[in-house]
Amino acid sequence: MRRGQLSLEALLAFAILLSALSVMIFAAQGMGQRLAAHAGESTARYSASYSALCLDEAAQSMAGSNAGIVPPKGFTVQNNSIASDSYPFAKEDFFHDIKYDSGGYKVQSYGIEPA
Amino acid sequence: MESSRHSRAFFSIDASFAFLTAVFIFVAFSAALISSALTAQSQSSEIASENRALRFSSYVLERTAVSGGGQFDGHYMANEIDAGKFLSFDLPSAMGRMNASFASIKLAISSGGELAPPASGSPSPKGTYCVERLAVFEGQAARLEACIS
Repeated sequence: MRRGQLSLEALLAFAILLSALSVMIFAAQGMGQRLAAHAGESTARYSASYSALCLDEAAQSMAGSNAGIVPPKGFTVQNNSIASDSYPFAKEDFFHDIKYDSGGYKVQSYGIEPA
Repeated sequence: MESSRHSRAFFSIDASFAFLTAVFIFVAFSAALISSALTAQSQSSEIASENRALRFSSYVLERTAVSGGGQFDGHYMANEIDAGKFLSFDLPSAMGRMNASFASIKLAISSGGELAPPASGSPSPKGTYCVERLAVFEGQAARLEACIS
């Protein structure tokens, strides 16, 4: 064999090394995507949870009125709950009948006592 | 001689050890990243569940409050619990709103005694979250405990 020429064994070893590297790179990419999704969902859940807390607590004093509060960016209010547009699992239901109307949230009914 | 040294170098113990070390570091780093993501997810679930229990306790305080009379007609006395409303509080309805599997409320009165309507549902294996709130019951301080899971 001349100097500088790769042997079959060397080529095989190089192929194995490249394959292993490819697998690791693909695995890292997949993992990174999953991590980003986890982090995004966690953040969305925090936002949904605090929005629901804020609205449900405020609902006691905003019966039948339009509070003029708008949903956080990237969230939709429907079916008496607030949900993230990007992460559907990040969703919080309201105890009160809160709907989103043009201009803000509205407590639709207030069932404590006939007022 | 030269070429045989080259071919041996690819399978040397040093190279194999370096490769194994790289794989080990990759796996360890991945495990650390995944565990941090799971921790973040668990923390957000914990916060969301605690917030939900807090909202539940506020809802109970509001729905079981004493109604005002006279000039306060149509209003309710904040944090003042009405025994009848408390004991007949519709737990299944509140659970239905939140898709909860379990809910219970209890009122411990400072002078002794306790009011506790029957709990509804069965606790979720993910955990039950309870919140304690100060309330007033017949002029005495009382502690409301609201649990939901």
